[in-house]
Amino acid sequence: MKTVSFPSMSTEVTLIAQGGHDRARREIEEGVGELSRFRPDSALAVLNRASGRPHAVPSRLLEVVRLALAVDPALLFDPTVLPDLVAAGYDRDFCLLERAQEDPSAARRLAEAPSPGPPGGPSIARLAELLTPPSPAPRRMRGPAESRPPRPPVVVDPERRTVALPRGVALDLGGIAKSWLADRACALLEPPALADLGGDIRARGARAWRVAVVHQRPLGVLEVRDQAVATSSILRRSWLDRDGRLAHHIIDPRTGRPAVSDLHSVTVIAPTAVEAELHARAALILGSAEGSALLRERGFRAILSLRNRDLPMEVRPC
Amino acid sequence: MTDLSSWKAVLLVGAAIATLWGAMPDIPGLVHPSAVAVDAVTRAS
Repeated sequence: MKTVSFPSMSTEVTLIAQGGHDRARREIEEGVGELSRFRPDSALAVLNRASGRPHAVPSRLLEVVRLALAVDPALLFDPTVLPDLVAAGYDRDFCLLERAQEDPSAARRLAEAPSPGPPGGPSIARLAELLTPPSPAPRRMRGPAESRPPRPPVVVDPERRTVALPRGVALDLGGIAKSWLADRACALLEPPALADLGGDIRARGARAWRVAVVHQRPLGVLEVRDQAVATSSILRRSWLDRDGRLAHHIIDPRTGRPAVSDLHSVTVIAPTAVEAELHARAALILGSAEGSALLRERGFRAILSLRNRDLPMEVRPC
Repeated sequence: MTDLSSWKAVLLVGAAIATLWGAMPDIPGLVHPSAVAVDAVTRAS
């Protein structure tokens, strides 16, 4: 069994398998080149700049866009929330903020644009204070009672391999791209295999893998076999907005604002990393009552951490 | 006169209980990460 680790997508990727590491790594690196919104030359960035007309896209981007647009509405995933995400302050790669602490040239690049705040985010103790309904409504963002107006649809033509974004619409595939690449990379590894893309984990083969669950602190170890695990949290990639309130990268598409619920982290075990990630994110937005009902109904095991409770909550399928 | 060896035994038992308490998982069925080697860690990234 061989282990290969390398940095990618502002995190660490680890591939453990009998073989196939090179092709799995190539798949991830080429995938990031197509799906990252932070690389100005990525296929996604080029597509976002070409809104208003059909634009030919490479195969991975086409597949992920089709997948993203077909997600069950109950999972509250909308890839067109990019303008809301940028309005909330998430307008650059978080690894640039982290690198700036060590690298003067990165610090200069960072200084060229206003910063959304330090990486890492506030402690749980500050969350309750920061995640209160805004009053008055923040600049450039809608209030919680005002739902987001519907956007015109994104049109995909699978035969011509084009995507047409309505004018002013831009895509963020951040909530699905990493887990999709974990599933893809793991399929290219010789089993028993595990692909870990910064916590979005897919395992293949008969072997049981031990996966530690960390929600700010270590909670325990899960055993997974031919399954996937993903964690969604508002504790990372969070910052204080210009009004001093907590903002983070999990946007509630119903309001177009960072989600506010009683949860701060959710880990889900599912057959694929995409399912695990989408359900963890949905539960985080919905909160402990609706989120755990959704997970139970879908038959997924999950661990939920609440903002105002020390002990985590476990959800088991019915 | 106090028997020092019995005090030592009390302290050792106390330390063992404290260690076990720290290693106790919060969720039934989960093993505390410090108790076993793990293959991967899931966390927000």
